[in-house]
Amino acid sequence: MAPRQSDIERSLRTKFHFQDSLGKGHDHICIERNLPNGSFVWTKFSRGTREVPKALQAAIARQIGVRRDDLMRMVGCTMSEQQYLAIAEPPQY
Amino acid sequence: MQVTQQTRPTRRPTASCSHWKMPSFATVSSRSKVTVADCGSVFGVERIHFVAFSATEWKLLQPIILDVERLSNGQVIVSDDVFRLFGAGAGLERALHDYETTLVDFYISVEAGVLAGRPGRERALTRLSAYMTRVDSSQSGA
Repeated sequence: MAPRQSDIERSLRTKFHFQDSLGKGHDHICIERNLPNGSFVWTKFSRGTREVPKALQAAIARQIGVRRDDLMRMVGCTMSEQQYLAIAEPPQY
Repeated sequence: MQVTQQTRPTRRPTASCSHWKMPSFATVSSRSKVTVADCGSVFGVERIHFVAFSATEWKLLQPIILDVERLSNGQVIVSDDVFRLFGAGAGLERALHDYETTLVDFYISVEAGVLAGRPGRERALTRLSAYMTRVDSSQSGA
């Protein structure tokens, strides 16, 4: 079963210490996390609890610098925060 | 405008992308009024150029190439390689509108992060500022 966006958001917040981004979002929940190399990742969620299809899982995973299967491991609690920080690919800016 | 050979369209767009116009830009979305151009396909990936905001408070300084992914349930996802942002919605117009909203949210978030001294935001804002800027309302005639 596909994870719900609220599950992904909750996992990123509680286990991987993503925080609300500054500024006011339009219709989205925006969260971000600093990376050890002085960069950061940022992602957004629509408000609601609907299931996230694979293509959207991949888009969210890309925003936080991992692959879709890594994101699923993060949500499934089989990846630690340290493991995430070790593999997270910072954006190119 | 940065258009590489790779981004040039290699075939006529599908019927669902009826806003083909080359080489000039075309306004394609009546709902979001997001302007895109150069609908096409590169190696099987449908691509469009996001070239203008519908929101009058923002101005795009150079086009952003968006990959378009159409899901079997009618959902469309557009995403860029520059900022790793995406927009999703039931159809291309809604996805583009979502992308535009996300891009503005990201800019505002990064800008606030710079003011708060958060790491990495200044570099991101520099990159964002190469693509978009706020429109001075006193000059826009609004």
